[in-house]
Amino acid sequence: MTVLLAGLRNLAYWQPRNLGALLGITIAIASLVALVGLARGVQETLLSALENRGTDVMVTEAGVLDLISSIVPETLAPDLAVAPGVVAVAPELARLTTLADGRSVAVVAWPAGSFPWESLTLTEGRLPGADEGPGSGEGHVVVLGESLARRMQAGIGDRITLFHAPFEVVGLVTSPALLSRSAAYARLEDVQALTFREGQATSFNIQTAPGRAEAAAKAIGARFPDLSVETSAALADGYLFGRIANILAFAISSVALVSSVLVIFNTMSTAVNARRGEIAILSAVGWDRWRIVAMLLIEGSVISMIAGAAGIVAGTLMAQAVAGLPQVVGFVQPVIGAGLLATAFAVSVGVGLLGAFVPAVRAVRRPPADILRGH
Amino acid sequence: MSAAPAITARGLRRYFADGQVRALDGVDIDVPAGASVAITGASGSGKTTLLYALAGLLGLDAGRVDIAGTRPHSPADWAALRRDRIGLVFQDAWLLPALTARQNVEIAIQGPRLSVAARRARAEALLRRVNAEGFAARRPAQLSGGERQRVAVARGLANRPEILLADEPTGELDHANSQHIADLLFDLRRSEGLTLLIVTHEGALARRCALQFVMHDGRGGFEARGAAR
Repeated sequence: MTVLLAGLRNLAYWQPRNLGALLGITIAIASLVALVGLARGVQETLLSALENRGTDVMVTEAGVLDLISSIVPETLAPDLAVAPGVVAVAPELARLTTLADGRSVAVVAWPAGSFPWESLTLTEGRLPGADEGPGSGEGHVVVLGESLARRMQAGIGDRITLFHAPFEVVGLVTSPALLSRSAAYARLEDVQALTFREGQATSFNIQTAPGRAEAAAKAIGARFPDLSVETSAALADGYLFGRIANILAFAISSVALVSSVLVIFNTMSTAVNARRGEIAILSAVGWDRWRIVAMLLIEGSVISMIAGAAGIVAGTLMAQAVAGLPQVVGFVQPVIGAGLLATAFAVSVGVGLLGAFVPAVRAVRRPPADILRGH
Repeated sequence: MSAAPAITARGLRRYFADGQVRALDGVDIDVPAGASVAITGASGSGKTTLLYALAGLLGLDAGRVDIAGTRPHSPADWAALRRDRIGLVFQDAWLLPALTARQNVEIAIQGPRLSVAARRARAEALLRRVNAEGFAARRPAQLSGGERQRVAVARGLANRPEILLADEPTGELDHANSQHIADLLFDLRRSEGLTLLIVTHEGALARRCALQFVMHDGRGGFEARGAAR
């Protein structure tokens, strides 16, 4: 009987044992794919939101942990606008509020007609006008990111409640950034009034002439040493939460990888160790060591490949399911690329083979009598 | 019987438990080609350990074994001898549970020039030889003790060995099956010209062998008996 046939027959026969190994490796690979995919998703979501703001320089309060905690006076806008290279300045007030269903939503407010609105792509309806809102005798208006609109099942003309006040949905927008697609956008003066922050902003978005961002940031920083002034690129790189997300993604990926390796190795080793009796018999009937090892590797590779593929599918579904949970939806989209899938499959097959190889070599090196007689 | 020894072993020593258990304590044995030898002795006297040592299944602390004038030096040498010249039958058959009776025999048939069909035909012929063709397609779990042992004998003969080593081949069987397996082994010895070594504690089986090698506390020697049968 050939090595290949013997291996395949064993696989077909030892279904419960092989199913156990298959399940163990599938779970390990699924966890690896889901955890790394979600961790990378958090990282990507955050950085993508910063990089897609259409802003060249950001000005915030110095020393704050996150952008929403920052407070800067709106009255600084004219002084910022005269800095060299600056084309336009737009104050921004970003707040988190709670929807009727208890979920959190980010509300970003800019002056109507200011340039940050251009970072959004209108898919339906319109953007808020400068001459509407409570000041003109009308109600508040809001534009919803398409993910948020879908989540709220809201469309043009619907009324939603933000900051305990009614808002009419006048437009739907999209953006490459998930966080932007999951936010609501309103006029600055409306949100300032509703959150008791008249005259305040959380940041200034500054648009510069091409290639002048760094020079403008340097000039503004020199004039306003108490403010944090950074180009968007530098902000994305150095943003504390971004750095935390990077560290978190690395830590989770490392832990997921190491635990997967250990689980797969242990699962496969257990499966091979359970067959020491068969190994001893094959040796007793004259199979040489490497023929026996080859048979076990064939079995191990088939199990690892099937489990690896199943784990990838399960992990992708798990990550999507987690991203769709009410507490998470709109804040993270798993990033599961070809690199991660190839890594997961390679880990499954590579560690699976190693997990079969090490105990197989150990078993064939033992004199068969030790196993046959139970020594 | 040929004058050339099938097995020559000198100074076989194997201790367990840091030397407290002396399973083999300097055993010498010469087995003439074509002889039938019963290895007897009390439980724990070292019978099975000796058989395993003669098959190269056991790591020795000292000593050497020559098989038909060939001295194996490595596990690969021993594997080649078990593949080509030595057949083994174990007390509890030790069949592979995933394989049918025929496949259990087939797995021991080796040789690069043999086609799958040739291996299969030889396995079927061997099963017929031991009256086991009727359950060739059954797995070990579906066989009785006697049936399993017959398959194990067929597997032991898979590569037309010159030497058949059997460890308590009837130990787990009832009287009728025990008699049947014993008849089969001696019939095969005659027809195939095998050198037969049987570890047994059954007097009747031992008496059917031409020679009796008695083990006692890891030491052993031939007991003077009648001519070889």
